[in-house]
Amino acid sequence: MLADHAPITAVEGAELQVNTDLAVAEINAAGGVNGRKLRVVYADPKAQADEAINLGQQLVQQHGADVLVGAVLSSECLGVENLAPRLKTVYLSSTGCAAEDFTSKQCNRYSFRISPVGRQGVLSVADYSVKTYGKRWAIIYPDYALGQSQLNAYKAGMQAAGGELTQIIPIPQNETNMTPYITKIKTGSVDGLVNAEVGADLTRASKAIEQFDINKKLPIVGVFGKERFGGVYPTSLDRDIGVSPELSDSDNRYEAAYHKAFRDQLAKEPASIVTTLGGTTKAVPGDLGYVGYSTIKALGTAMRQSKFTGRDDTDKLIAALRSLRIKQGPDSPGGDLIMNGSDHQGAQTSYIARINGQKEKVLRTIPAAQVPRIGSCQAK
Amino acid sequence: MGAGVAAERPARGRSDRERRSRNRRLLGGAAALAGLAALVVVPAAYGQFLPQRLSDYLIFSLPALAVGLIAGHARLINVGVGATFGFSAYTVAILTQHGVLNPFVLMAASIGAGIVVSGLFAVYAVVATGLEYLLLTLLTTSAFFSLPLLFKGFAGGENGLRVNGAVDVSFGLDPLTGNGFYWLLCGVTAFWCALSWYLLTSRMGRVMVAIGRNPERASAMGYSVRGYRVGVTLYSGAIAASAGWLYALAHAFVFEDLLGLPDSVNFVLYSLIGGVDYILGPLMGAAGLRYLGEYLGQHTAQSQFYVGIALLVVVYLLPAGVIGGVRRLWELMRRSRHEKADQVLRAGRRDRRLPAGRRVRFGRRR
Repeated sequence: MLADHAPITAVEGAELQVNTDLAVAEINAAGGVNGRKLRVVYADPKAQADEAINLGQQLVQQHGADVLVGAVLSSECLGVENLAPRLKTVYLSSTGCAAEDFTSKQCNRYSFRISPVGRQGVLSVADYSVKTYGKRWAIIYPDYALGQSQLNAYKAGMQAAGGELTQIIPIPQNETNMTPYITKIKTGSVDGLVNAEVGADLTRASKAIEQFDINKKLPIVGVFGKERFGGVYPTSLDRDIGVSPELSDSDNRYEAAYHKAFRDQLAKEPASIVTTLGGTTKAVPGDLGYVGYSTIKALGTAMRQSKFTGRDDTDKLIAALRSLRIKQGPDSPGGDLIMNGSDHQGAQTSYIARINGQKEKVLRTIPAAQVPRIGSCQAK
Repeated sequence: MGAGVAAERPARGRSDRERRSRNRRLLGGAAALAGLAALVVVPAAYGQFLPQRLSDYLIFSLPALAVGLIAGHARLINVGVGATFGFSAYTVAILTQHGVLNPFVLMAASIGAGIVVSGLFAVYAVVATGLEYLLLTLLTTSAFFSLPLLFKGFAGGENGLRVNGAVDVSFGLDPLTGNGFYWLLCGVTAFWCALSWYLLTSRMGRVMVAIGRNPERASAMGYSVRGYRVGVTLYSGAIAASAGWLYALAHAFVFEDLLGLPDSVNFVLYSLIGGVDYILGPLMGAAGLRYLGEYLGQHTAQSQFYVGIALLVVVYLLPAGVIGGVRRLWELMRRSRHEKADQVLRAGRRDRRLPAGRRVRFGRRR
């Protein structure tokens, strides 16, 4: 398991570790996989692609890992994805790994991604936004690769829904003064704002948006997941709309059981991880944690189905992962999960929801079967 | 009689010195060959992982060697070797993305591209020195870091770029299985080390060292300071470029960090820690620091802190690097042995009451 604990990936790495530990504990408590217990060996690539590749190699060749999982940054997971066929080892990306290219361009026989990313979520939320609020939108985004791909995804999404991005505002990464950018937003001539900022930039941008009352004048789309804020949404994000396969206050019984198990597991984790996630009382899995959890649960299901006993059964495991279908239940508490056998990109039931104080109000449910495909890659 | 003795002694001294020097060279050569043989044979007997780790160390030791040659011998602190290294690696990836899979073409193109980049640094070596040169190389490397983002469609942007062609691009040698690729790396490393050693011990190398220490005096003696600086920059660029080529083959994936400052600074650290004045210093520095980082990384999330402490200790206690420190320690031990032997002899002479005027001499203390 490649779990990053570098400062820029601390939240993702912590969620990944807690949820992996939880999923593995549940699988092992239920008898393991075909009578064998799962064992996780963690390695920290420190948000460096070459380190992720080296450690992936080390985990397989030195520690005898049967399957590789994780690597948070896109460059890391794309590097490990390229390593998987060379090692002839199944690789599942988990929390993070937002690059569409993983399954849209450079897919391969050994690599899988369980959770939807990029346009798979953006197209739905763009469609909802245009149909609900109007056609003309502004966007603020971090001016580097991730933000630019978000910009392109929203452009495509708005266009597909009959809307358009009429005001595009790139903000340099790590910009401390957001005022000049936020005050550019023409609240009178757009129907809403897409906030595609991430990390500390997101926090600063949201505060500036609140300071200039833009969140009271316009609907804001893009930001979701209280795990990114230590388990508590800041007031500046109130009324924001986003899309996620998991809701932190869902009332379905599987989610409720999952959230309780998450809190119990968190209490067993090292203090550094607990602190990173906001403490045992506030921490939630959110979509970052849920991706980690559902990835291991999906792997466990595929291992059981393929009667996996070790690397010699890799071909059988690949076949099981390609045709993976999990209905909503304890292994997939947020909703159904479907794997696309051609590009190895999964789809999960997703929810467009609005932040309402600390609550998340569901506005639309997108069944797994209706989550759009990205690209036309053929995993061979 | 007295004149005759005086005439004989220097002749015998020179002969002793030559013999000792020849012996040292032979011993050094034998040790280098034994080291190379051990490097080739031993890891291969320890399964799959050790040769691959050593492969990585060897790849990163080459740019460190390049830094060592520029900084240690030409006295130019270049923090741009990472740009040469990364550019060569990207050249391989970009070419394979466009269907160029011939390993010889890739090797030539990659090293050629690296030399072109190092040509830029060679220009800096002509127009600037000292802090100005350091800043120029630093700023250029920062600019190179942005190239993959600037040419995202071409170079993969932040996501990095895959090297296509599987083992075809590495002469049929699989970097992940077998020892063939590791041996190729050993060969390339040995080639650059031997060639560097030959050049440094040649007249050309000695001139380069003289220019590094006092360019004005070397210039006054008629040597082309600019020409030598350009030469050493291009030569070390070729070494760093070959490392970039091998990196791309070994990892089959390149990404923007390869071009950036962190790698460049690491190469400087490897060479300084290992010993910038010695051929093997950067190699030992690269292997030692990378191993330390990996080992600590497995045991603590704060590995960089401990690596930093270790670096401070080494820099403070061993300003000439590990090899320089070992050599100094060896000299001290040798001197100490001689002094002890002197004391024993003096004591023996007193005991035996040697006649006045007799002298007992040995070694270099005659």
